Amino acid sequence: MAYIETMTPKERVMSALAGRPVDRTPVANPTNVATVELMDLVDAPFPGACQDPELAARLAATGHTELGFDSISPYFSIIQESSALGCDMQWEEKDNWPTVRMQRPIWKGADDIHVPAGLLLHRDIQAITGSIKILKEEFGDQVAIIGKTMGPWTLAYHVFGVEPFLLGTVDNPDETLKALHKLKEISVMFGEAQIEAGADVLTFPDHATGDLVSGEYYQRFLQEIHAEMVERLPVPLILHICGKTIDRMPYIAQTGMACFHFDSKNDPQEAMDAVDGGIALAGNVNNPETLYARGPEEVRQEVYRCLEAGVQMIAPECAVPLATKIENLMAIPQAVKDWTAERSG
Amino acid sequence: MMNRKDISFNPSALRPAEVIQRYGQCLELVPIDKYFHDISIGLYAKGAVCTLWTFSKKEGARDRVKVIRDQMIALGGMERIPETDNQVRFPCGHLHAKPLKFLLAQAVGKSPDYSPPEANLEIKDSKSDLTIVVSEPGKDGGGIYQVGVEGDARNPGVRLQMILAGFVRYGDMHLAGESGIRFQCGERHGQLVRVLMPYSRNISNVENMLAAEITRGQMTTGTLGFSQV
Repeated sequence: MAYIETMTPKERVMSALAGRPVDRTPVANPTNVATVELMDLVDAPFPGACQDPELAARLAATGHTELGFDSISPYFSIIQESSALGCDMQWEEKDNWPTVRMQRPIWKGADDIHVPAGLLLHRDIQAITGSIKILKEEFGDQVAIIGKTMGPWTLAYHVFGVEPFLLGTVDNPDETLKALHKLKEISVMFGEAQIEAGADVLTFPDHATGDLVSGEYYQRFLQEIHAEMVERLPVPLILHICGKTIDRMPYIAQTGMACFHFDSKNDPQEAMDAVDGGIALAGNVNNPETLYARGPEEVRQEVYRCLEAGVQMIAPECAVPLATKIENLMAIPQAVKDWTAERSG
Repeated sequence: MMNRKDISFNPSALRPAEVIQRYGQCLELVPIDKYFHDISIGLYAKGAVCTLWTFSKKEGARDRVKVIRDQMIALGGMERIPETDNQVRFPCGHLHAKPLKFLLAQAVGKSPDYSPPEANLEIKDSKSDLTIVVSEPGKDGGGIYQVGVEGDARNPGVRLQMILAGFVRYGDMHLAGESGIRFQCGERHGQLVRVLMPYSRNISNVENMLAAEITRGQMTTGTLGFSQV
């Protein structure tokens, strides 16, 4: 039996993040759903779409206009602020992600951390704030605009290099904490700029991932900072950490963040049990095996599994592979609608 | 499925949902066409009909797709769907999805003026001094291609078995006897065999290539440098 949608996409997303009832589970995009075909559709290829606000806005909008997602996210990658800080960048071609050359870190320790003059005017920052303004104007109150600001752990990887930073957590945890507290100011600055530009929600990726960082480390180094972000950034925050994170989900649930965007390496029901109602969950359709390599039916099965577990927002587990086929992405909102219709009346 | 000329391939006309509805699922996607402004080229399939599609609206994109279509025919032995610029099928009526991947890669990746050789089906082995020779089946040959190796090498029999395994793996073919291979349709597809030969002779290289393709454009803790893996 068909159901009737009574909410705008934005109302749906914001209600889910606030723990309020929704007409159906929203389909959100806390990270990225841009693909090479969508880039061609609107003539907004990478890397340009990561550097120009109009291209970013055009490409981001396709997530809603073509794929049917309830949100739009113009920050596709994870490198914009690191580029603005002066990190050595590898911009790549249309079909690959821009990355930071972390083997050439720009800083050595906490005392090196500083905010360059005019950071918010840097091209790669303006690409995001400018695109949010454009999207806000075009989509107004209909669609949730999700910005993104990197957390201090991710920034630390970029500015110090992964290995030096992780060694520092063992050799000098006090210095590590000092660095994280300084870097978080960049997270706040960029987050505030996006909110001012019109972002309704912010994704907060902070890559304290399970394969390199224990749950205990998360609690020790990041839980308090993440709780502080909730106080300082006045929009719902979606924390994103890749990989196996069941062990830290109980800590994450205590931060006060609105939502945790989780990886397919975590079973949806186990994740729901781990957070125990303390935080909403977004996810967790698998990227490399399902969205990239399989078809709409496999996508549907994963979406259903998430819905049956009670996951509050359905999303790919992370930024989708750039060569993902469009029909697989379209299958996500379709599956949510079908599941809802099957249970209506 | 026929694609009428007046609503034929027109990058401006169709949005993704319409393309999928009209032309089916995307079987393969070449993210970057190096011979035309890095546009993406998709191969959509509905039944046995394959449609080449790009969402790019760049001037000349339609002509470029036509060239790729012609290469699919020249390289792979496909036939055009009448009154279309961008649709092809195999004469046997089967889809042959697996080898289509490699055919598309060659049709897009080779120079637009590349012509396939008309010589016999043979190729130098990449892992030995042998030459791989494939003989076309006769009229009543049941579509079975016999694969042989010529020249001197240690364990030519082992190499032959590996090469046969390559045809099975990448062509979705069946073994037929000790050294025969056939497509599932049982029909002759000599041009497709020629497409598959370079891949079949070096499974490990192809697997590495495919793995690299898969990894490219994926955001993982590995590709971001945030992992030991």
